[in-house]
Amino acid sequence: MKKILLLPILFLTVAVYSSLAQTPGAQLYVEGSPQFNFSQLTITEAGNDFSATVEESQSNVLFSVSHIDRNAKNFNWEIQMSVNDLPGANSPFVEIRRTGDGERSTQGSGHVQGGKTYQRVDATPRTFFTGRGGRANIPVMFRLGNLSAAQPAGSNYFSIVFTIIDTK
Amino acid sequence: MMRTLTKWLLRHCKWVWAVWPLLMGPAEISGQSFSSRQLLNFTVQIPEIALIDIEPGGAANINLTLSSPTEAGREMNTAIASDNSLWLNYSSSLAAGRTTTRKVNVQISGGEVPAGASIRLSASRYLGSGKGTFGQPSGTITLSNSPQTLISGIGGCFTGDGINNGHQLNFSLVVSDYSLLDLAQSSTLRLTYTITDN
Repeated sequence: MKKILLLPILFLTVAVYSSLAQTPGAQLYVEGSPQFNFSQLTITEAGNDFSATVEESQSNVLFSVSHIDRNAKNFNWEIQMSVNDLPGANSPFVEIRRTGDGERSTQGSGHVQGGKTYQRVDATPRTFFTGRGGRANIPVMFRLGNLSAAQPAGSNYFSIVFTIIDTK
Repeated sequence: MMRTLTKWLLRHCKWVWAVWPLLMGPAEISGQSFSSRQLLNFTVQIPEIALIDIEPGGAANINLTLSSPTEAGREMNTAIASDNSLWLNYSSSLAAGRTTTRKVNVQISGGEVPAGASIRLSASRYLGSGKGTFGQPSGTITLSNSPQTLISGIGGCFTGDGINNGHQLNFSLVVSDYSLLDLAQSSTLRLTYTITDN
């Protein structure tokens, strides 16, 4: 009798499982790290400051978007970015832009849009770029801003969070 | 129909309960992967820098001249014995957490001051288009072969480049001992400015 009462619960659980197992879930993979040319951080004439910005000469970080469901093709997604440890107000900051569309992946040809101009990364998560379907090796480029001799010399640590969100 | 299904499930009940955790596990994993987070960590190294120069570049030579008085009994004519055309520029970057500052020393590194005369030097307060923690002038010093502090308390800063940026330098040639003066004597001096850590 007890087992008969538990049957509806079992059915419900199996149903929930089936539903969640089929829930679309975009996945983001970030490969590489920014490579800055710090020879730009020199001063050859007394009285001058460092170059206020230092930009990568090429994209060294690649984003790939896939889906937990290997058969998914036309899922929509959005990549958000934010910085974990926000430096002080007058400290160097990071800006990011997308420099290409990447390549087609096994999950469809996909497409990406937005994020082609530099956006400053701060503590508030904001949209970097959006897309649809799987996409591989989307190149992004980093730029450092507010570099100055008036700032303390030494190491500046950046921890940037990228989050991919399924959108409708 | 329902009764038949129930009987079938009860017959396989042990098997269903055995896989219960497996059923629940993937459901949770699936929920977590609904959005995906990636961290990208990197470090940027800002170098320490200490640079100094005198402006206008290429024309940092000055002439200080004492001339005879036009009236007997009067002191030397010092109308052209002073100059304030030179400016001191610097860029200074200090390590984070460092409590000490930098200073600018000046000394005569070549030539000799004519007998009976001395050269005084003072720096103005900071002026210009720079940014940061600038140094403070130490007051008027009499130049010698030993280094003397002209500006101290320099933090992380840049003064701006060229004239009207940094500290204006005020030189004056004065008579220290009339008995030793020889107006025919001329001398070329070389001054060395050094920015150093305190």
